[in-house]
Amino acid sequence: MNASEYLLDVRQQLKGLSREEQDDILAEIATHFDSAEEDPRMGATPDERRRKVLGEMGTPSQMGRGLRDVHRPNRFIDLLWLWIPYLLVIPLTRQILYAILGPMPADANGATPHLYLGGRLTLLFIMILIFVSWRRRSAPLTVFWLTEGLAGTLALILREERYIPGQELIPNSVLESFVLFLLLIALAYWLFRALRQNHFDLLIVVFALQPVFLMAANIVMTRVFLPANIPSRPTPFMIPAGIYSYIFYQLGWLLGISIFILFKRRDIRWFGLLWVGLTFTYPQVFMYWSTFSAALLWGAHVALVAFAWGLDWWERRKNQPLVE
Amino acid sequence: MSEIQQLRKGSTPMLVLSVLSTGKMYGYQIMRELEERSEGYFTMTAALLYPTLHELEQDGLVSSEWEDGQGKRRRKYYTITEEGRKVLVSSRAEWERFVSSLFKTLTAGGSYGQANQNRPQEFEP
Repeated sequence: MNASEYLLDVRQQLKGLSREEQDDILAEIATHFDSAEEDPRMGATPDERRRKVLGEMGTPSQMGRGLRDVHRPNRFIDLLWLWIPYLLVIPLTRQILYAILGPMPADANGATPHLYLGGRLTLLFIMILIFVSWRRRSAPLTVFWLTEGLAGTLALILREERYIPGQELIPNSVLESFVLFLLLIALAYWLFRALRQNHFDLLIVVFALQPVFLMAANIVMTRVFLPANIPSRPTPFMIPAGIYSYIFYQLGWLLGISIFILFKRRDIRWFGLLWVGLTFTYPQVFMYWSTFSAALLWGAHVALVAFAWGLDWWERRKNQPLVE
Repeated sequence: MSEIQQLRKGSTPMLVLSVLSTGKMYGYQIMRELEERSEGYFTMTAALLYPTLHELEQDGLVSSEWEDGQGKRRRKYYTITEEGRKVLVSSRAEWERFVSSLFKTLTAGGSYGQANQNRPQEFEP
């Protein structure tokens, strides 16, 4: 084995870490080889030095295991940082806030300032969770909460600017709009950096943009289709969607994200993202919109993820070394 | 893994901090410095050194920076932080206590030990 083969083996061991982390670690180990080859204490000839340094490196698997233990945070703990805030802390805190505020006047569409205050509170929580994820050095968790923060901030801006119908009671503050806009830019830049660090890996890009895409599609569809297409009577899909709404909408979505965070195999992670698309949009769209518009959003989302998965699979297949 | 090997492995972070307390160094340099200071006793593999360095960095005990080294080669240099120095002082004191207690225990011939030596052997060991 020579230095290049050693480094290649270590890279194999570091799968699951971001590309930037891998590159940084391997560059450091490469300088170790270089330093040893330049050191006369390691032997009289370059060959002797190379042999000696390889002998004191430890095996690639020992190196990989040691580095993985340090760099990869526990994925189960990551899941807790996802499930507990999403299922317990954020909804409970919102309910407590609503209880403290008491009943508020609603407009014709049933929207109250509660909605907006709840959004602000959630955003505050998300900021804390982004910080925690970043401190844990967990790439999937950081990307997840960053995109949630981005979608949340965008939603607040759009509501504040009255782009979303039925939100007329929301107070319009120029200062807050400005702060939210700055936050949006900061989060978008952070997310862009995270994606660049991962060499714009298609899997990570889809994972990162999924919530934003869902929200944007939701807004567009609502504006385009809602006034004309609110079903006046239950659609054939409403009853099953109503029954399974919670299971699909919340648990189905969390399950998909959990699959993505927990597993290392790319195809399983792609399946997790597809599952998010299938379950997250299904009950919402079929309950509130006409069959056509619902099918359009649902189908578009599923098709996009499936297309990206196919592209990724094809790319991997193309780059696979030929077996002689 | 023998007890001594376990002890040596357990002492690695402190040894690395100790080497870095004299100035910033890169991985290979730390390894050689450690070897020289211990007159060849503390030799470690790179597979132990780099995870240790990265863990120390995550704990905020050392910081690292890529810099141009000799011959314009870029190397990752590690520097001990203030927090690292504090930890080094406290763990050094702890190790001193441990080592001196260990020696005292190993070299002391207490009354219980002497009494046991004088007892007739009931079983073959």
